[in-house]
Amino acid sequence: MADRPVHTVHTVNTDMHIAIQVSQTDPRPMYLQIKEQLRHRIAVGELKPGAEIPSIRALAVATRVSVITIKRAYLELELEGVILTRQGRGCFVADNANLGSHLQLQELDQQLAAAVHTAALLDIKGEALVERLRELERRLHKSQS
Amino acid sequence: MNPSVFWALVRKDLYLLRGFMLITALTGVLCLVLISFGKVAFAVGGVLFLTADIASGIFIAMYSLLAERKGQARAFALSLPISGFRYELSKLVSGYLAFGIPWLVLTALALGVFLLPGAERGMIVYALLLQMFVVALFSVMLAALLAMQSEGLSGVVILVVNICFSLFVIELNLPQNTRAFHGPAVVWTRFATLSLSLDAALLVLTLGFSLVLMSRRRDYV
Amino acid sequence: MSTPLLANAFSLQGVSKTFSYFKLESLTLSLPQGQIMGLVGPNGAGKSTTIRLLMGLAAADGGTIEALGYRIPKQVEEAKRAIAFVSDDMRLFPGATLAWHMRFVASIYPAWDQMYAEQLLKRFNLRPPQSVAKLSRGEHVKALLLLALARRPALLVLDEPTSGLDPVARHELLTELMEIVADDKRSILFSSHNTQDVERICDQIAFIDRGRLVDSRDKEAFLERWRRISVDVPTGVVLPRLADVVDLSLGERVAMLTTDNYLPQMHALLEHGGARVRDVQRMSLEEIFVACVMRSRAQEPS
Repeated sequence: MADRPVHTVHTVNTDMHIAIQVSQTDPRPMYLQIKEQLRHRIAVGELKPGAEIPSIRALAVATRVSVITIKRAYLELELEGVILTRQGRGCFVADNANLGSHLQLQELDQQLAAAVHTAALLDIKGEALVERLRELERRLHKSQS
Repeated sequence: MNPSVFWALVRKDLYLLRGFMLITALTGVLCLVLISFGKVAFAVGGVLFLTADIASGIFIAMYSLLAERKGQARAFALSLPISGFRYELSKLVSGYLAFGIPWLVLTALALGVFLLPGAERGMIVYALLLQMFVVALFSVMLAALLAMQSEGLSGVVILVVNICFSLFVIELNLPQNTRAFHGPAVVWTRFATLSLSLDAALLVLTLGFSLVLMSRRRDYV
Repeated sequence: MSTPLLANAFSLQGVSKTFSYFKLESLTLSLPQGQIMGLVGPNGAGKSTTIRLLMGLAAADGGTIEALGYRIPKQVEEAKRAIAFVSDDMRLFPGATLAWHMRFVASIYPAWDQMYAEQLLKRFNLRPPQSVAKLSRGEHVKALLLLALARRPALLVLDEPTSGLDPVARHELLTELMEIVADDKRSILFSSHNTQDVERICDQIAFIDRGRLVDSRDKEAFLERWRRISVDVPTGVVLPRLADVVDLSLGERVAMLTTDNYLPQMHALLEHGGARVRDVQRMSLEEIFVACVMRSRAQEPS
């Protein structure tokens, strides 16, 4: 990489909803963007099992996105067992010990699924697709070593 | 129901018109001072006095009613907790007050001038007839502007009011009418009582007309 | 005693109004408490008329209107004590300063929040000693919004609030609007033709065109039901007729379907006949709005 000075700023964001951003140019619907960002935070361990997350209205205010959109994201995350809403007590990350790794696998699957979809449009299927993936993996390893 | 908003709006109008009210009263005082400096000064002062009188009426009606409607400040006033009827009532009350307060000052001073020792007491009737006619005209104008929604028509009303005023002044100054005014005592001629009754009738009629009209209005768009 | 849970911030039932040049037909619309509704429509569609009827500035010819539980226009004074209304053509009293207006509004509303008003002055970059006659259009709108927000209304009604605002002020306004619904008892109705703002912050959306309500539902339902499906149609294949297809543009080999009730089963139905679904796209609120209006106009008896 180029030899220019790198400024890194370390901020510890305890107020997690500040870091959630919704973009209107993102082709994904807003509820999905929120869902995926929350899942990601849980997957990488930024949000630990049992941790409290903002209420629907609080997150709506912070992200400037309608309550109904946040509600939908929370509802789906709850149905997937990722979060829990306790009436009158707040919203929490589910108390599932290996939720993090499970979600990371799910994230991987989502990205692979997208790749499979794109490949289908290019008529790359089955063994050809797998071979392409292997080739990509080899190249990545080479560039890292 | 909510008198505070009603009076807040009336106070608002008086506050916004305060400068004009003050200027009208001061001009009147100046004119009355001028009157005591001989014949020519009397004529000039008199004309100026009448102009201040009638102009203040026209200005108040235009500024307070038309400008507020056209400038969309009416929309803001109507967003406050007040019904359309009571909003228009506040315009009526503030209109009469903004016109009435300087008018009262002017009338009192004019009457005072003719009560001074040596003054022609008969002129009291003259001054009273003029001042009462101005009030009646103002009332007609306020009612007409309240009723009209178009600006073109408002211009016509103001023109007609002006003409009426001029005609009245001419009529008032006809020799057969002025004869009674130039004397040491107050004389109530038939013309004077007729004129005052007409003023009173106009006042009552226009007020009634305004109130009926306002109570029937449903749209304030 | 607690208030009923699903109270409406306002409701219009079968409301109609005829002017010499415009007619609003049997409008039924309501907003649950704690939500934001976006009223979207082209110019002259009836957005402002709807809002004026709700604010009691015009009396409906038929139907019933309620705001915060009060009958409009009969109890409009009571209702307006908790409603703040700003329209983009509204102006303050030209002879007075902003500071005077703040004192004036504060004297009328007991809920006036002076601290919040001062925060808003900073955020909107306004100076109280300034005479309102000298304010620019954008500043004027911001001054009106400040006076509306600082009275802490239970229902905020905005007619085209963002139309005169610069991007920074618009951003600030949307933030303040969301702050309002942090309280689940407070609600907002705003009309706009900026569908981007509406898409972002509204819970309920109502499309209105030519004096008629074209469609009204919650935003997620809108976005979820509408899709554009591009289909490859090999020669000799005839596309099956599908219900809920709003628009169909047909080429020789490709077709584009717009549906207002998307279901995944549509793929199977289309592909069963030999066509191939190439892509399914979500639609932006603006695209949905345009499609809705076009369909409504096509159905209108001419």
